[in-house]
Amino acid sequence: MAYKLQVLKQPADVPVGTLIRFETVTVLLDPAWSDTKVSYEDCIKFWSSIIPDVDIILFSQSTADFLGAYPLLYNNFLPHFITRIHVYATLPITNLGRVTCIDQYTSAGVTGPYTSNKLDIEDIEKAFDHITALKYSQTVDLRSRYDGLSMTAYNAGYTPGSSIWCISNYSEKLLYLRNWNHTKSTILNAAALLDSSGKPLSALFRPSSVLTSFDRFGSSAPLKRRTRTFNDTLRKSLAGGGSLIIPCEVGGNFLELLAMTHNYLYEKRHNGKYPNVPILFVSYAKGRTVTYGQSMLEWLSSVVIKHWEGRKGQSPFDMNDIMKLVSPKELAKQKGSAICFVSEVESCVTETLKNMSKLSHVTILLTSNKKSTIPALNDMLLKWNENSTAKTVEGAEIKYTATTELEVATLTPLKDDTLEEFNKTIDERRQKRKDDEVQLRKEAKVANMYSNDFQGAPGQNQGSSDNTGADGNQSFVDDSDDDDDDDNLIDILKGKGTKKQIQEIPMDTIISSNTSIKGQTFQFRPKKTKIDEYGTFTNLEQLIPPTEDEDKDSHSSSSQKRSVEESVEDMAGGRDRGKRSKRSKKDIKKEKEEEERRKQAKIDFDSIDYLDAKASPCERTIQQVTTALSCQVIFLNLENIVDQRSATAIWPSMKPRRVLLIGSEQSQNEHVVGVLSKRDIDIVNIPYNEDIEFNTTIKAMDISIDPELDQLLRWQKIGEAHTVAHVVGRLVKETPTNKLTPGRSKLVLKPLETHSKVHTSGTLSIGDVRLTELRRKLLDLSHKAEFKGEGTLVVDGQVAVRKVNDGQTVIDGFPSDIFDIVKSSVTEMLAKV
Amino acid sequence: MSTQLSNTSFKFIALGAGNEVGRSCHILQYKGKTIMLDAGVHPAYQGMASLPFYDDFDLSTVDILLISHFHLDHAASLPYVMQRTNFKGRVFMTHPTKAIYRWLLRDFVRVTSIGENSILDKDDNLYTDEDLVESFDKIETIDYHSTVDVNGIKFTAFHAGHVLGAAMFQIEIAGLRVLFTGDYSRELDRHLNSAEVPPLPSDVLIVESTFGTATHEPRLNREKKLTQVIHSTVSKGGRVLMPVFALGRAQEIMLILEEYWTQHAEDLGGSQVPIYYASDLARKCMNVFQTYVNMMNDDIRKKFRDSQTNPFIFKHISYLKNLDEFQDFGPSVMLASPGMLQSGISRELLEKWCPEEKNLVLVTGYSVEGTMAKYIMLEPETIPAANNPDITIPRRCQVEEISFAAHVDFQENLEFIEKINATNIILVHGESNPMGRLKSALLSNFSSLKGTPGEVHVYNPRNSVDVVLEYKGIKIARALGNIVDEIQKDNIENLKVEDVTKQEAAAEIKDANEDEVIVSGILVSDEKNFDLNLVSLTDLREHHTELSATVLKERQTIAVNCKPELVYWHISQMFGDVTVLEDSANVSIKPDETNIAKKEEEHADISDDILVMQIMGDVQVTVKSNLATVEWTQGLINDTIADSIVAILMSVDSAPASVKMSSKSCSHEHGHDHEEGEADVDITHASKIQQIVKLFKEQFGESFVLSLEDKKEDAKTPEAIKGKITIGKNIADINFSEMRIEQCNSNPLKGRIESIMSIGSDLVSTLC
Repeated sequence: MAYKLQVLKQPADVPVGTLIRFETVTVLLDPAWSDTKVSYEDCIKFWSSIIPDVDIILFSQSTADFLGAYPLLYNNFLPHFITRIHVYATLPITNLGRVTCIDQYTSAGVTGPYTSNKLDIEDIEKAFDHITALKYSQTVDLRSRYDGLSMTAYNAGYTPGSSIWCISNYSEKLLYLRNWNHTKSTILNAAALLDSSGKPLSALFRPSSVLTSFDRFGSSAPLKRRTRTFNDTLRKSLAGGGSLIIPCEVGGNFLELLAMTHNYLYEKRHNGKYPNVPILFVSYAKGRTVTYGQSMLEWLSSVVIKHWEGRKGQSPFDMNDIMKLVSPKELAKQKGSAICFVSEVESCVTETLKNMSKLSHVTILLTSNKKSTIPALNDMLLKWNENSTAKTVEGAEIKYTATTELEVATLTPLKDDTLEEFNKTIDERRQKRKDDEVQLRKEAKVANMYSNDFQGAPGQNQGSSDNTGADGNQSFVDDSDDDDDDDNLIDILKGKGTKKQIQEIPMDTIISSNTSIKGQTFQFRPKKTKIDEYGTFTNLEQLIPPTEDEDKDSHSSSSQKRSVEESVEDMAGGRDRGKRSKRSKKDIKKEKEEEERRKQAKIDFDSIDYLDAKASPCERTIQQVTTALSCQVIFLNLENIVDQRSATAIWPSMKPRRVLLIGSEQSQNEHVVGVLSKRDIDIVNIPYNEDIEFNTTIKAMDISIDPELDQLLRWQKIGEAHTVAHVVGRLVKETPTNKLTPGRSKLVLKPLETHSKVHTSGTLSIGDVRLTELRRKLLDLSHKAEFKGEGTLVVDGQVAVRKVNDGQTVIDGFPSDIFDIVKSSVTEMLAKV
Repeated sequence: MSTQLSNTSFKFIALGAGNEVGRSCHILQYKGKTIMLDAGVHPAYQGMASLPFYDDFDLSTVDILLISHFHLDHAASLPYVMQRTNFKGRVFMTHPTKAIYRWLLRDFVRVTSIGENSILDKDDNLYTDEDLVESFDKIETIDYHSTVDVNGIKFTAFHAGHVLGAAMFQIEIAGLRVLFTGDYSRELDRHLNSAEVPPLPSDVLIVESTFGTATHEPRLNREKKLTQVIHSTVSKGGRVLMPVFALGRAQEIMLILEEYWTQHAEDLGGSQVPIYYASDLARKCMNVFQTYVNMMNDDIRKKFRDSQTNPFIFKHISYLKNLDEFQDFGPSVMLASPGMLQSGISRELLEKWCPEEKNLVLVTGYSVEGTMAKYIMLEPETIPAANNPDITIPRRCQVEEISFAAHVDFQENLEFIEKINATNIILVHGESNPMGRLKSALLSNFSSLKGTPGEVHVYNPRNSVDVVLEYKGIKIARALGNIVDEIQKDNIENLKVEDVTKQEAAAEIKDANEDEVIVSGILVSDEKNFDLNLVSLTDLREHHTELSATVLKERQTIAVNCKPELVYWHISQMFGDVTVLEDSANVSIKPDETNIAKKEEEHADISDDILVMQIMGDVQVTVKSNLATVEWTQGLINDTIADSIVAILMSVDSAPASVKMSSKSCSHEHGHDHEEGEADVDITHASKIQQIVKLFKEQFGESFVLSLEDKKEDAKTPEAIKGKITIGKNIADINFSEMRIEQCNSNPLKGRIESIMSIGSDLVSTLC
């Protein structure tokens, strides 16, 4: 089965998505949007020709260059999404991707309380609610719908939830992985390519094609050393009241860096050496990333969880107390040293840089060698690279002074008329979107009835849950959300209730004084039960409760109300009694207030209500501000990406038939390409925006063994783990006999009618002769067996066993009993075919 | 191993929870793999008596142990199994189960050691805190829907409802799929997913039967009843005690109460009636619930975006670590653990509150036989105090039971069982009577399938009684590499797998038989994960690096003293197919006598002549200076040929034929050979008769007379040799030449003679 591959590109020389077109289905992987280079409108235009063909969208990572375009696509091509396109990603990607996009879109002014607003925060949320969240090794089975297509995500070890996608149909096994890491990181497990013993995972072994790129490799230094350097950097830059600014992608390795920092601070504080250094975090989505981090412990490596459980049962992201969420402006007010994480989106970073001068001793730590979309950071990295000589290692600091033009957004609050107008347009837009969606869902529901078979896979009851989501989102006041959903719940329950009614189950028998002694002793008088050959005969009707009166129910509830009213007095009495312990009540009250406060803090921590379009809308204008920057710059590659050497070792062991490279030819690492080509791996560079067709050479097929043939097989055991049998049969195609359920025809291997072809020369044995094992065996049989020169095993001085080469073993000797014994011992180790 | 592969029986043993509720523990065995499901204790017993019957099974054989959820009757004996038995397998549970299990069992250790120390030995504790800590780190966690493969045992966890983290396991071994439900619930819940039906079918279903054929009230009614009964009690100034498991259903009830309290704030006097959640684990447990929001149902998961939307941050419910900080004034609602009122906070409160009439004990969970929770439901006059059983406390309080135990009722169970559509159903986790009723109800339900291939078998085994099922799956091999090319080269079009629509189906069947390809390859079965691969011999190594093809050569050396040509002669006499590879003495040239003689003389003194022959294609014989080496590749036919060659070589020196061959006097006239031969035959014939006659003489002595006289005249024609036996009146004439009795007037005599003749003939003429 052929498939076509297309790597998409917009002006910049970076891929913005990959399309795989199979005969009946088109899969889009990782649609990205670079907001600094391509305008919102251009982006829509670009995708408008592509989206109508797409059936499935997959995400492999939660950074902007892997899913940046998604909310935009979802909201502008809503009909396609509601009726057809299914989106899959692991749960952390749906969570972190949300945060990434909120930051990115707010930075671009596409969302948030700005006049340039195109989307509501809620629209982004809805887009991510549409994703079917998966677990690792949870197969999305679409075999019946799309010609045997199934997709499974495996851990890629780059960020929480980052995935290696294994897309397979009956003949192809494609692996898609962009960034991956073969070793354990601070919080994550290693990529699932290799199992714990270092062997390729059988599910991913021998892919027909691998889609990857060799453009970025991680640091070759082991994690331990990098962590040490990181800790040193923290120590050095915080010394003397200095501050450290770490720009990083919130959906990228932010959580990892945060955990490392927390680790460092925890240990320092534990030793009592350090004053509290606050962690500041600049991100539009506020503390949400951390909240999500707290709820995704199951995606992290178990070692981390254990490690932190030892520390008073915390998780590495339990940091509401030490973490402060600040806006770039508040950053300037910070007194004393601080560690500041900045979401790597343009406006966050530029604002931070602008305000940086007010802090003393600022060090900027760059943790990735990826070309940043933010010019200022790019410049710093460039300078660092220029200044670094052969001797400078990662983690070295350079002095950076420059005068840069920063593009800073200025906000002027809307007033009066303009505000009203803006609010009106927003309201109109919201109403229109809501109406559209309701309409579309109605249509989709009809369509969905025909594709119900699709809902079989777990976690795919998308349709129904989407509906509740839509209803719940009708109003934007969060409080009412709960009520709405509860009503839904009750509605559903009521629906059920009509079928299933109250039944009074007699629990006890009442023994009145006038019952006979016999009756008192044997309280149950069992009826004569009918017994058939299965036991008691059961009338199923009896077990299903009879229907009940609705009226009775409502009546009882109203009477209940009356009784409540009557008893209010009692309640008052109860309260009086309560007063007697005023003092202790005060304590309780205090405690309650404290708890209340904590709860509120927790809520404030990650609430992003301020980004609602109608919350103090502003006019957003970009201005060039010339700023003199002066700081230390440190580059330390802390990204969890496989290093070059390991990649060249691991790829050949996976035995891919073909490696397809995403991204421009120049960006690929020549060395790796060279090594892999030498190992007979077909390497293909995929040019941008062109359909490349690949034909499949089927190299595997499933054949069922006829039970009759199965009986004839002679299984022989080899070693510990395998049994083999030589099989000869005729292969026939069998079509399902049941015509009502047309399934796939299958190949069946049946026994031969004549045994003419069964005869084989029988000169080859399968298995390996291990001389040491043979020796042990013979010694057990009380023979003298010893090794004499060049790996020859001499038994009783009469028979010699020698391995000529890997595949040949010679038994040498005079005809004697011992010869036969040795021979049979050797033969036992092998299976004949 | 071949016996194991053909072994198609699946075995199930319940070590606990067979015809009882509590100490859930089951063993599955299939194809040499052993899986253990759950390791619980029986809540009604103490110490060793509460364990499943671990002595009945060798736990060291268990490969993996799966824990369905954290309840004590499903998980509490896990540290015992891991630390105090020879169990060596791996243990898996879901993330929330592990997180909660940790706190729950610590509590369990504490409670059991306090409760029983006074009466029983200290050693009677099943395990200690250290055991718990040590074993805890060895537990591995899995996520829902992720398929894990452990040496060929594939298993996937599915949501089971019931409590947070509860899982159903679908286990697949070599094509056989078993679904273990654990405790499960199909009800729509505020925070949990209801039990899922796995997308793949199952062959065996192990299902709980707690409620047997009983049916629940609809959930909505129960909720209403719950809130009403609580409302009316507190409005009368009473206290409500709800004994609950610290975790699990308690959280659901808290969600209900929280919602009710929010909605009826005014009726309840402005939230003046406090709700307490009393458990020393309360806060820790709530942390777990706040953390694993993603493991709950879609409703909660989708709503969860930030802390604001975390449903487990309650407004009306306060946590109590213990009763010290509890101010018992006025009405209150108390959710207290443990759930069966055996000891601890809930028991303490029960004893405190039960003498007052306006108070209410509200049992919401399932209560096991023999526990206080079960006892109190009988509304006894008095209850015994926990600390001193001799003291009794009067009971006047109200007792209500509204079950929120998240177990399926009959209807839900039946519906689920029908959806799973397994042909073998094993009932566990139910008291004997409800389970028996469920069995017969199920059988009645499926009675229409009786006698068909889809017949449903239902088992309700007692503890330690095996259930053995035969399972024959169709094996599917995956053809890899060259063999696929071969198949396709032969018949690419017809054998291409494709979807067949209804119309085509009939036609296809007809020609199916014509499109066949003879395939010869090697089936490799991995004993670890039951992968079956079909590969061609040539690229076996490519696909199974651990399997190499070995050529086994054998070589035997024998001393031969005779000349190579003799060896050649013998061998070429024996085998038709002899190829001479090397022949320095030219022995193989057609046996021309003179030539041989000549060569003999010429090479008489050269001893290192080499003769190399290949016999029957594969056996090589090298004769060189008194040594003959036979070399062959092992194989059935080759071995036989080689054996016979060795036999020839060993006897070649002494065989008469060799002597004949090597002696040169054999070249004389053979002109009269034929006559001589005939005479020889006659002679032997006569001598044989002579011997038989001798036998007769021995037998009959004087009475036997040989009459040879008559034939003297005519010597040329071989006349009959006759004898005569005279015993009294009886006379018998015997013709020895023809070996028959010519005449005899006595039957006994005749019989005797006949038998002697047959014996004689046997003796003289051996197989000719």
